[in-house]
Amino acid sequence: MKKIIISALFITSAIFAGAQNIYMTKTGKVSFYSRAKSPEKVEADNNEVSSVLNTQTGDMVFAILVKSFHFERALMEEHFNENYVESSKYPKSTFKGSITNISTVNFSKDGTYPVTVEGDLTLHGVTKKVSSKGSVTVKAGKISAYSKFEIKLKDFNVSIPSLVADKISEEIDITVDCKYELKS
Amino acid sequence: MSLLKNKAVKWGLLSALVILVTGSFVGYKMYTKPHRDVQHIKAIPVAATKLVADYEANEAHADSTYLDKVLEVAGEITEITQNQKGESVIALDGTGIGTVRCTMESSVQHDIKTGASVIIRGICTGYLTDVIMVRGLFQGK
Repeated sequence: MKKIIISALFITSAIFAGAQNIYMTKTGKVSFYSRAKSPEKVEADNNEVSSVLNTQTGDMVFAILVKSFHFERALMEEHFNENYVESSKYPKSTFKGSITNISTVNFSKDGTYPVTVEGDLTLHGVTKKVSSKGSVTVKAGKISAYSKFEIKLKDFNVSIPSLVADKISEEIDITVDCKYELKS
Repeated sequence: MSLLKNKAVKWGLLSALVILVTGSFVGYKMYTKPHRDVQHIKAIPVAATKLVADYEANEAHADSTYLDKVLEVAGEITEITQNQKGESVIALDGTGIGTVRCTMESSVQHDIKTGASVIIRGICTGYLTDVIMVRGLFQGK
């Protein structure tokens, strides 16, 4: 059902708003990092993120395939997929929300504008309201969005075995970095 | 007596050492095991048109067949772009709505053009509005 809603959102937002306001990417980047005390960095990135931004309403949608997250260590990737986020059961993560101060962004003038994004993040089958600070950069007609925020694993029912509790922190830093193109 | 005790201690220590070394070796091997060898793993051959049609018809069912598997997808290139990391992303013609989008390995160099028919090996990570594959390699190159 959720998938249908998301696809519908992609399509309807494109139809109703008129093509001039709809920017999208299929190669956005989302990465995460666990500030653990272990010497080994627990981090991964995903370069196959789909996102749509409506520059008029500020509406933003992100769709992520969890299995596209790539770790340097194969074993870490395996544990991430099988034990933590259970990506076979929950293959997608989504964010549906909006830039609350979209009126302060002047899309016809180059610059970096601070923004606040609010919406629903779905991960591991759990949906939670999140809010984060970020920025929108306008440069020569191109738009990019950047944000870094923190989530708590237990908010999304992701549990860490006590054996590795000291290697993976409860708080995970998420970085979103998307370069949008005008939808043609 | 002390000799016997010494011997027992010696053997005990030796076995402990052997277990420790073997254990660390196995642990290290597991910890540093390489990513899947996309080039040589047995792949599921499928046409890009069929792959996209299968996903559009029933995503859950298609996931059970293709998700996380190494696929060998044949199709016609409709678009060649780059992701933000500079890796090549190749789209293969699907149903007219959805395509198969494959992020190629960063080591892949190519001068292939839109319109060419290719076979790409990669790992299927699921379906957004397109079927997504990662770690792509051209078959037979």
